[in-house]
Amino acid sequence: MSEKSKGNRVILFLLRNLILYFLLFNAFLQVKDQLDLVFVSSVFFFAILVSLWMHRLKLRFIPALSVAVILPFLMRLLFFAAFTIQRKITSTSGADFLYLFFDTDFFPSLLPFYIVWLFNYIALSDDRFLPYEMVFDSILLVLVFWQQAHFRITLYPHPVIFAVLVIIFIVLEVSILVLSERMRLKSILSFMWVLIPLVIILFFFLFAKYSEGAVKTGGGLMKPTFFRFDFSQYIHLESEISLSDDLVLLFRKQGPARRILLRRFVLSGYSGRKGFYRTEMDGGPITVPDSPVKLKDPGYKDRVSVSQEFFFVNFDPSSLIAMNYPVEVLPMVNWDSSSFLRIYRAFSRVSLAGKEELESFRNPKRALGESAYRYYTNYGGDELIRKLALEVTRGKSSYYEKVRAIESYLRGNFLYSLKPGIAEDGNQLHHFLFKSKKGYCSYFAFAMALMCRSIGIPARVSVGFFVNPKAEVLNFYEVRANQAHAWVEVFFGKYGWIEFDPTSETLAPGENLRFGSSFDFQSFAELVQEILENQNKLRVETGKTPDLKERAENLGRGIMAGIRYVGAFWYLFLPGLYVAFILVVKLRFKVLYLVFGSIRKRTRFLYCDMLVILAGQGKTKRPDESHVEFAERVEGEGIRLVRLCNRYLESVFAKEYGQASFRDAVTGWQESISSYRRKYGFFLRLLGFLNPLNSLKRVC
Amino acid sequence: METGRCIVGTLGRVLLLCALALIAFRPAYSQETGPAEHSADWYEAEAKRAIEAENYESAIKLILEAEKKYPGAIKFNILLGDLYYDKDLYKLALEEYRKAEKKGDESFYTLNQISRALGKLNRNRESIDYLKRIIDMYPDSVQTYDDLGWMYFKTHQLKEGERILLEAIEKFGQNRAFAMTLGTIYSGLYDYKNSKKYYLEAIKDALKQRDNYFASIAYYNLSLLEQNFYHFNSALKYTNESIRMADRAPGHLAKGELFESSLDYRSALSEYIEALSKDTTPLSKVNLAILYQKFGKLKLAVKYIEDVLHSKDLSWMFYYGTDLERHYKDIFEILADSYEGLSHYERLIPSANIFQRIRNLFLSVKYAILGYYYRAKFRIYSVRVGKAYLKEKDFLDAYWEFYRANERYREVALKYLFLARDIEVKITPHSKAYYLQEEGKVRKSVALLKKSLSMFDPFWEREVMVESLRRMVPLLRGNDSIERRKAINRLYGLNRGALLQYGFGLPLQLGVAIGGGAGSASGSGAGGSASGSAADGGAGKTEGAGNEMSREVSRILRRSARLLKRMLRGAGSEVILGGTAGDVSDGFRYRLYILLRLSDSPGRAADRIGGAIVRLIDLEGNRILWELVWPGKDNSRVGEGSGRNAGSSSESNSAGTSEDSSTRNSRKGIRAKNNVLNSVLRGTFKAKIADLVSRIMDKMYDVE
Repeated sequence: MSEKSKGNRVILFLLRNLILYFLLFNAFLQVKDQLDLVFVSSVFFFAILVSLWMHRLKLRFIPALSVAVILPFLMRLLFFAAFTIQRKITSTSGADFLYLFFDTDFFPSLLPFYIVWLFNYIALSDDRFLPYEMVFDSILLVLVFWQQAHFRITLYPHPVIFAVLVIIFIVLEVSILVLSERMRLKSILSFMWVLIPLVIILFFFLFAKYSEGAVKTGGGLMKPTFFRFDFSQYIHLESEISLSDDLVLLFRKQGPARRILLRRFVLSGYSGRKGFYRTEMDGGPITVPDSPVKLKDPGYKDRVSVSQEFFFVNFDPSSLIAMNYPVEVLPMVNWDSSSFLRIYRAFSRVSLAGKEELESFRNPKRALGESAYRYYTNYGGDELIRKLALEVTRGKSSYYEKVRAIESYLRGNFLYSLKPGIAEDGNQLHHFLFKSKKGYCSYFAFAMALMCRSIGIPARVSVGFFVNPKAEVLNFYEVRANQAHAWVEVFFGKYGWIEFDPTSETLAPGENLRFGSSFDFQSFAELVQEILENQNKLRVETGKTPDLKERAENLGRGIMAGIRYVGAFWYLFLPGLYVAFILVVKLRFKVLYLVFGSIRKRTRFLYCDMLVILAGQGKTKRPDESHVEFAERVEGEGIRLVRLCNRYLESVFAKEYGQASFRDAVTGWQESISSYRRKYGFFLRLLGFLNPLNSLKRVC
Repeated sequence: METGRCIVGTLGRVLLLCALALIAFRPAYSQETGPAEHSADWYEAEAKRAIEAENYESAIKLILEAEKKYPGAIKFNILLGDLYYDKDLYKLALEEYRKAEKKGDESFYTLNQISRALGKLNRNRESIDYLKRIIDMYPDSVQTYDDLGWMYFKTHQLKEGERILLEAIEKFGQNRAFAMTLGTIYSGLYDYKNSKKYYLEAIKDALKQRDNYFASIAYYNLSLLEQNFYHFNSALKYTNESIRMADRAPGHLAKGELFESSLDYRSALSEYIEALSKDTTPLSKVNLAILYQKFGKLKLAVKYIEDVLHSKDLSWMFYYGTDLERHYKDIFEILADSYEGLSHYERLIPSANIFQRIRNLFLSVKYAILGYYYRAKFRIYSVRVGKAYLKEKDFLDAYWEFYRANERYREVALKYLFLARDIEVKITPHSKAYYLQEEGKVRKSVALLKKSLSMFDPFWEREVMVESLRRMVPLLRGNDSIERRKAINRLYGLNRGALLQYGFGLPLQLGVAIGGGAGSASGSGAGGSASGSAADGGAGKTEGAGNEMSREVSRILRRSARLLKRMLRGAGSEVILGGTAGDVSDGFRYRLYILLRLSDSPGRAADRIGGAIVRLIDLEGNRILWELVWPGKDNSRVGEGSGRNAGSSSESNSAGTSEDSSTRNSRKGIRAKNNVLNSVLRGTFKAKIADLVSRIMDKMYDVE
């Protein structure tokens, strides 16, 4: 073994164990209150020593495995014997607990022991393990962070640290591949072809888990935005959700309000398939501006100014939330080492219009205009819903009474449930309205909005947070993820869009929800204290030219937005990418044939194209085979290739190569194609075309 | 001269009038202006006004501004501290009071507030230091003696508590607060006589002063004392008195615990639910979780106890004789029991196909790991709690905790068990039964467990009897199989919900018959008789069926019986097909009679099974324990909801059961949604039988 390869092997060995220790350490972080890091680390090094010892002894796999399985238990026996002796010598209670403390660390450490031993043992015995090791490491990485897939990284103080560590992990993995002497660049590249999709799939798998967790724990309304979360701009009706009690933000309010609903999005677009979604009609800013902004005030009647301050803890910092409707937004400068991602102040004009005022409104069509009216009363032509709405509002003459009747009907006759169940026909809303009669807030909001729309009342769905007035201390309110909510806004002309909350407060049997039960005074108090201590540092952020750091951040945000977009449609992008690759690789010789004028080259491209087609079916030229031998072998299997092969060789070696020969080559290619089609049916040909194996191999 | 005198006289009168006017108007002037703007008094008044108007932002701003302007002033820290304290922000309050203290404020109020805030933050040792300091500085503070006594109790310094309270009684005379705390301390010292004496004194004084609320608390404490000393009837009496005096959550909890120890599930549940509606602490949830766990409603138990685990508001502990470590230790034990039970449960539930089997096994392993994790945590916390007890020289509790921590290590466990036994049996001889039970558990001795069983009160101590039985069953193998069956039967009689979570199934005589529809066997209704005379059709044999039974029906019957037997065995039950009277004495006391109903429509065997009537008959008592119609009213798609959980909600009435069934139904939905393969496989014969067995198990082991 050369010095260089020896050095490589040592580096590889170190890299491998560095990666394994990284994984082990992260797994340990999740149970750090339970395990002792010194013990776990000792087990780690013990496993390495055992594998080295076995490698030195050149133990075969089965005996090695048997020894590795038994060895920890033998060690345990030894330790227990030592403890027993110690107990005999000393009579303190401390000695009595040695067994217990040992076992507390011992059993959870078994799994890392076996993994570290196995990886090292196999890698030391067989270099071919290297690329597979990378795959296993990736799987382990996903498994270790599986518990973190709750749209929040809790193992590290900031997601960026986590991201950096994962990048380092990937760099180390790639270094292993590059250092591996058995892996030449070509084989590394060909292996990447398998590896990259695998990593992408794993990534999306994890991402899907994040999304699932986010949607479920965000009351069916949330979506992840790379380790923070935000509301989705379209909402579906889920068959089951759960609620996370993660703290999202702190909120301080001054001014009157009947109820506090913090609006994130207005969703007025509707289609039966997509549900409610955001459109151009739901204009207005949705991100916190960089400098103070005064928004257009439609001047609705009976509204008062309410000041709000938002302190984001775990929410997309660019998201703008405010009570209906904001007229001014002032971004605030955050203090150093703040616990908050973003602070801003908003002023909203909040409606205090009561029954008397709202009852005076009658004609929405005139107030909105024909096209907007049509838009806001689109209910997807669902006659069952319209029938129900008419039934519920029977005998109600005024516009306001009808809205109230629908709201009361839903609040009074339906139950709140996180498990509305699955509709047999796929129509979750019908299932809710006519069968199960239970659902979570989105069901109620969907139902009310559509019922209103179906009888000509313009309505839209809003999503955001409801604020629990009980979770208040010194005018601060805490908002948790389980307060994500959907409600309805109904158009009342000069009074604007008025909020109605049809969600029932009666729990369905079997539901055990305690909204606000997670109100954690102590941690809340710490955040309030931080705000109070830094209150004087709070100042309005004025717009200025972004500096280099900000520009870098903006660029980063842009890249992330791009990735997010790709991520959102990965099921299209991934196959699309694959097909594009296949097209380029498989049709390259056909394209070259058309591009080039030289008949020698064109003959060569014809032959190469045929070889690529055959490679798709696994028919490739062996290294010890000549082209003629290969063509004869293939011809023996029913595919005509000899004629084309002869013309190809002629084009390469003959001094003269004329048009007649070229025409013969074309005929030969046609013959080859015909015989290929005869031999393989359409699906096999398609499979062959899509098969990436051997595509990049030099065929001729 | 006269003119001059006159002028002087006039001037003097004017001056006098002016002076009088000034004097007269001065108070009015002062009242109008108040303290000068931005003076310390002005800040105080403005801040108080803002607090009253709930303008906290302005109030805090004013106080902070004032503090900056008058750094030596104490009142702003006290004002802000009080504001935080009123809002339960004890950490912030403590900081403000401490600032005042640093500025030289050693008033009774400030020191007392610091001590209380520390107590609320569970920093009991520091709280004690302040209380001691208050007594040194203000020796006439009656309340502080009581507070210190209570804090000594909370930190297990019982002797210290006794000393300080006896000193207080000597100094200030008896009062109900002293009597109550002293009663609690004596209870902790296992001094039954003195504890009862002081509790009764506290009650007497409270009743005299018509302080019913206080009397209720004292009665509650007295009931706990009686319960600790195994005087269950007295405990119930005092609990009822406690509730009569004031309808508080603890009274219902104590009453529920008594019902629980006699395994009266419904009464215990109703008391706990009543307590939950009144409770401001998580104790009702803890009790509910324990109840659900003991009676086999494990998912509910986990739900409730995790809710408690994740609750971070621990200020309620200030008034309860517990601390963080004891609280978490109890939580971890419930979680360990629940997850270990779930692991057994998932292993036993029937599966219709290999995918369900894999899923069940995966869940079983997952729950076993979680069970192991929480058991390990419980053990570590037991050691910590034990060490805390040892520090306070509470040897009995310390040894007990050390024993619980080391149950797996026989030598160590027995050492501490015997140490605890030697102390407790002297105080309460009846506790010997419990120690025998524990010894039997550690030594895996059937004889000891049996002996303990015979010593328990057959009414009030059913709960511990279950523990002895469930430890005995795995030890009874081979030659003891009849005894084993009998032990399981007894366990079943005591608590149906206990079996599956410990990995046992009820030994059964199985009778399968076919009735209804074309080609059916006769005698289908006969199984309903309590004697079960027609239920012994057994495999492929139905009374009166004879030659009329078509070959297909006969085949379905044979196949059903075989599958039912196999699945019930898989669910932990020993099963014999048919069975005779002699089998009853062999421990097969219960007969499961299943009358399958076939539909008329031709088709696959799976399509032909239209439903079933199932009865469980107690052959000793000669009565039908329950009857089940499958599918239930709300379960028209039998067999499609693969596995155990399909359609069990029809029989759910109480809150607990309906919660359970809702979870099951949703699980069914999720499974159906997620498992594409299941959708292909559902509707198979095996899936239908698995569904039936699931329903039977739901019914058979449901405590409702």
